[in-house]
Amino acid sequence: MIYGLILCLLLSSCMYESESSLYNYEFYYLNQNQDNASGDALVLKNLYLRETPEEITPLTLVQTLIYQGTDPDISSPFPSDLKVIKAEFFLPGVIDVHLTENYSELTGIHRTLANYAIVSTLSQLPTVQGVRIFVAGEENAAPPTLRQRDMVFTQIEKDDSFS
Amino acid sequence: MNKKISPLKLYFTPHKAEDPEAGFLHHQDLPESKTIPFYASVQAKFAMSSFIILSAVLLLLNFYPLQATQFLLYNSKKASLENQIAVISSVLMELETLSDTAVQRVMLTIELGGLSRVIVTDPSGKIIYDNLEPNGVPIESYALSQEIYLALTRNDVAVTQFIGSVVYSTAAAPIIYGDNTIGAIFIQEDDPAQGKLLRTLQENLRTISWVAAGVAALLYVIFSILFTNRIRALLLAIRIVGAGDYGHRLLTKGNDEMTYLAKEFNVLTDRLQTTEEVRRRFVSDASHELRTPLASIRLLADSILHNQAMDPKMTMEFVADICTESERLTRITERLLSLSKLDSLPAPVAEVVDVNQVIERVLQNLELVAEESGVEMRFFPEDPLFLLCTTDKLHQICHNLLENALKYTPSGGFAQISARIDQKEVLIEVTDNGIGIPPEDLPKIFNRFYRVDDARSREAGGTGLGLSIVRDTLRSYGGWVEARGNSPCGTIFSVGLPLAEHNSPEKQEETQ
Repeated sequence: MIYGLILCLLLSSCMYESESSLYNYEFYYLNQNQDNASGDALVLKNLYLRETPEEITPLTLVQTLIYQGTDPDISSPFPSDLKVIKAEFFLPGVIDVHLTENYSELTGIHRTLANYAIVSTLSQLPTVQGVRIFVAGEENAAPPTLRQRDMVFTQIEKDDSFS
Repeated sequence: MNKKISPLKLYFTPHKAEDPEAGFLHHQDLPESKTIPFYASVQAKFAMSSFIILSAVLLLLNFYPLQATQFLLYNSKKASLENQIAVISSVLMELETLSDTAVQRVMLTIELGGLSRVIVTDPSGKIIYDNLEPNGVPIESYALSQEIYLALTRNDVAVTQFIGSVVYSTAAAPIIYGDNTIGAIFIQEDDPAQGKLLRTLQENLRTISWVAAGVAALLYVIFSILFTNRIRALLLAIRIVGAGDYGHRLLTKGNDEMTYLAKEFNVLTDRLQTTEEVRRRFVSDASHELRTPLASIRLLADSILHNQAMDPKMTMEFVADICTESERLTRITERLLSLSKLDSLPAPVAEVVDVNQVIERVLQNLELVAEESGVEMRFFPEDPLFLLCTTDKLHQICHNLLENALKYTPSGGFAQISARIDQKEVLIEVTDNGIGIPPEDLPKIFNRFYRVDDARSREAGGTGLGLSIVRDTLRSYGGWVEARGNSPCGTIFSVGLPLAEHNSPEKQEETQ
């Protein structure tokens, strides 16, 4: 009985250790809130990863973005069988993201939202200025380098909302 | 009878404070009362219920008018924006494709009215026209708002929000050419005037609510103090009376429930005071009645003891007097015991009693007394009569009344007893032609130890309790007694007792 108690204490201390050693990162998904038709089409979701800010790589962030993100209020903008081939710095401040062929299934506003979900997620890394997306080795259509500042949001700042 | 009135709203009467020797109780004389905690008090319960009602009213006052105004305003804005966006999109739909230059050229021809922002995008969300950009020409950028996303997926969107002091209304719609969505249009209208109106309404309602809450709180404090003071006064009055000051009364002013409560309290205290006074008088009278024969016995005994040379004949007379006084003492104590039993014990269960049989027995018992006093006793029995009482009690009633008649009727007079049915009762009447009772004494003769002529009563061996016993016994069996003068002289005592079923016509027929 005493051994069992000690084991429980050890396990709980290990769990506490694992919780405290996770790091918070920001990921962007489609807004699925049906109650409000206004606001941003992409919404932020915080996820916790083991990698430290120094260890985190663009590939880890993009893979997490694509393979996770299930929530009643959000949905993934990516095709379900999409794979990340590569994601790395090409030049200082520019990241190249290589995706599989089925990314091209996305068109119109869906493609734009998927692009900027990747751009917004990777822009949390320091020094990132732009992202280039390659689909089956071919560069994304214009503009070739996507920047977060190209996104225009029309949401009204709700600093003193009454309703 | 000492009575003092205290107003319901006051704890003490000024009279009490000014006249401490009047025998009234002081606040400090009262036993300590249990302190009611505030949360359990009537005041706290009133406060809680008032607070809940007031909160509900104020919430309704604050939200309902504002929500109704907002609803009307939002619907009006929505309809207005939907009309405007329909006009713009219908113009843009005439373009086969949405090129930058074509859209910008068309938009320059449209009157934008009070719209603060107009954005036109291609199917990918890329902005083709933005009225905030110089000449409406945007730098390469994408509009990623929810409205535009929904519009590009073929949904019409219209949203109105009140933020800060401005009403913001946005709408978006797809631009469809043939079966293809060739773009989307987004418009926004900022209306600070309506926003200011809503904000003013909100602030006014809030101010009204605060004022109403303040006034309500003030009124609550005043009314609760007035009301609880009356309860406190009533509680204090109960405690004062409970401590023995039966003269304490509450001032009854008004016509609410508390006033009726105070009136009931006063009525109750009146009865309590009367009962207490009767009890005190009875104890006093009983003590006096017992002391008189005891004093006589002691005086006679002392005379015999201290006078060794007393004539034997006189000694015998003294001893005979001692015996007479002892008998009187015994009679008084027996009758006091009877009265005490009547007061404290439940009356024996009523049974069917043959009236004529009981009266015959009473006449036999008193035959010797009547002969000695030279008074003729008369009784003319008619049909058998039955009433509800007990034989012993009816015997006592008839005996006391007839003995009374014999005592106060001079020699040569008569004392007559009769019994008959009167409606649902058996009426027994004892009539004499004796000295009679003065009319002013008639209402008091049933009081304990009351005597019309004290000396004569004592001389006749009366105790002053016989008629009280008659009255109390009759009350126990649902009967009554009254006395009235007989013409030309004497008294008539009438007794009524419930008729037994034996006297009903059906029963009489069965008997025959």
